[in-house]
Amino acid sequence: MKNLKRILTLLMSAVMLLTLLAGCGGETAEEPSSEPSESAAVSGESSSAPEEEKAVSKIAILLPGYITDQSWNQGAYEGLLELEAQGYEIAYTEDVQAADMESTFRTYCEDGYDFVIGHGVQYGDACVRVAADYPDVNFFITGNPPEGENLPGNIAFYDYKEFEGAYVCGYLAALMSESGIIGYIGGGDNTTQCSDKNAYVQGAKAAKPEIEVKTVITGTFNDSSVGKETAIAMIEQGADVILQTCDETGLGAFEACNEKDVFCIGYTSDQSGLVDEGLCLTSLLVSIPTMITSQIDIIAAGEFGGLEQPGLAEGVIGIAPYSTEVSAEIQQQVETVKQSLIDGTLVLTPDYSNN
Amino acid sequence: MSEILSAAFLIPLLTAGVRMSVPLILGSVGEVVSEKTGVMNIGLEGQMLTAALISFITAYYTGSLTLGILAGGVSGMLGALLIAFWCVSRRQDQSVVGIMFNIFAIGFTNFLYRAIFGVSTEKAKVEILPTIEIPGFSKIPWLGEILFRQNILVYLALIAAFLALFVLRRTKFGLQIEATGENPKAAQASGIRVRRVRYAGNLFCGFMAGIGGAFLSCGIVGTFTENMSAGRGFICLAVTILARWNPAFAVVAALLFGTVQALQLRLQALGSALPYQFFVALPYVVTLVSLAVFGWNIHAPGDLGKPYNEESR
Repeated sequence: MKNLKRILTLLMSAVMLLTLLAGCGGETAEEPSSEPSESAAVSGESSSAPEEEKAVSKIAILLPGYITDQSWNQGAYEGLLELEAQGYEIAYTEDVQAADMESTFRTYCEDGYDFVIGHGVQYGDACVRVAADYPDVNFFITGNPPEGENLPGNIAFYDYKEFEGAYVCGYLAALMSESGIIGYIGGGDNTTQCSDKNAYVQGAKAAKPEIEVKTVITGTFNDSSVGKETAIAMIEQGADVILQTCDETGLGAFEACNEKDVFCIGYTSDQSGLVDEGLCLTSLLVSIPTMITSQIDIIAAGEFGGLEQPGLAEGVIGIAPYSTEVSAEIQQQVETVKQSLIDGTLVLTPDYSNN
Repeated sequence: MSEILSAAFLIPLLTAGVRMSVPLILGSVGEVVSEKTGVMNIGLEGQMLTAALISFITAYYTGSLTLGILAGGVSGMLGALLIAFWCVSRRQDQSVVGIMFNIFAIGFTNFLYRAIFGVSTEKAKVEILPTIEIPGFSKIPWLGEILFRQNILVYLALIAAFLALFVLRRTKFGLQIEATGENPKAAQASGIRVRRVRYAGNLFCGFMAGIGGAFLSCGIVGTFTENMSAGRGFICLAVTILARWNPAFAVVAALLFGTVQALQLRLQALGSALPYQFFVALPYVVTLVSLAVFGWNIHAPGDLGKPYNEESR
């Protein structure tokens, strides 16, 4: 009896340990890069060490959420997969919150990763603290730099103008609203989210000055049922078009819109498949994969570092195809606004205030 | 501010409040019973999360929500079995085991979800539980709309709370549970099989947490999103203390938290000059304040959290 218990204990610990190891995110894909040498052979060039040409070889990314969120994190993961296909060694860690940011950065640097990405403006501070200690590593933050700090040269910031897209979405939402009330659901109060929210309101007011915009910040990117309840609360108060920019929380909001037959606008990728035909008016596209993959060429060209601010004009921000519910006339009006942002005839200044 | 006091605002608010408190009612009623036997089930959060996934997978592949919810309950029980094995049979520290299980559950669910559904742009979905109107009762003004036009799990949660109260207060088994949690030595001396009672309490708690998790995936969202329990299991632990280990109070405390949560979302949507952090923190502030106000003279089960060795006298 005693022996049986002991064996059972050992077995159970083994099972738990195994599943834990298997379940933990951040798996590294260590596939030998066979592709570069193959292509070199095909092109007939000298096949002597094509790896040397590469500016970086090991790429790691810190994600604020999970790679299945159909949105911000999944986009980054797709970019990473593209790079893996090109023969780079990749790694990622999911759900990296404030307390773990610095140590995760350092771990990757110590492990020899030479291109480390913090996926989100919230990683800026931690990255600045780490970057000076690892001058040979290239760091990349998909957001604007922290204020008033002396920034090391080996970090590049990518302050893409997501708010330009939010402005267009606000414009569309206001035109599509019959009740005169529209909604915005955000996840947190970082600069990207705040400028999105304010630009959405601004765009809506530009289309219809008397429009009422309800805004809720849920404080979470991972709680889909709270997202759903938020959208229901807005719909009860009369909102009939809702934009969400909060990843998994937003999936819940979409479920509410689907249930209540209310228009919604997606985020980062074309999310029209998540709701019934026609309900998703469009999506605020952020081409995250390109954001990440394009940096490799920049590093190779030796122009890495500093701040870039691409937007609609550069194609980093986009507007997904409109749903069938959007009339040709409204499409025309929205396209005009979009075009004026691309031409530069309309210039937006981001508003980072959170109220 | 006047619109806040209108029926058009209050009825949907309270209806949403009930909906949002259901996982908390289920979890905390289970936790009350488990803690009454002396075992703190800190793994509640993990059991909820695992059950949310298992119930979704089952409902998705069998097309039956009933089977899905049952599977959720069973998976919660399996989680509780693991915890009971370590805490009751192996007499390990209950906090350590519980926390370990919670961390395990996050990794496990993410892994399993991706292994089955992959990382794709298509999201697998199930139809969510339909609303059931209780004939007669649903016609009562206010109360009818708030309480009697909900899905089946809302009613089951309330019935379960009532049953737990009845068993704890009015049956011999309830007395055995009480004795086991207060003084296991005395309980054993009077012929109660301490381990068996503790296992039973823990398994019941796991089952309830499992149903709570199933409510999230099959009752509200219709899909699984990673880490979707989002700390509700931990709120249940606070609710249990606030409720003074009484299932009826647990319902009240859970309703309070859920309603304040629903309220803060609505107040934000109405528009206000206050920063959003104030609203997001509101449910937690209310819970803390009520703990301070009602928390005096609390008597926890005497042997709560202590491992018991039947062989040592």
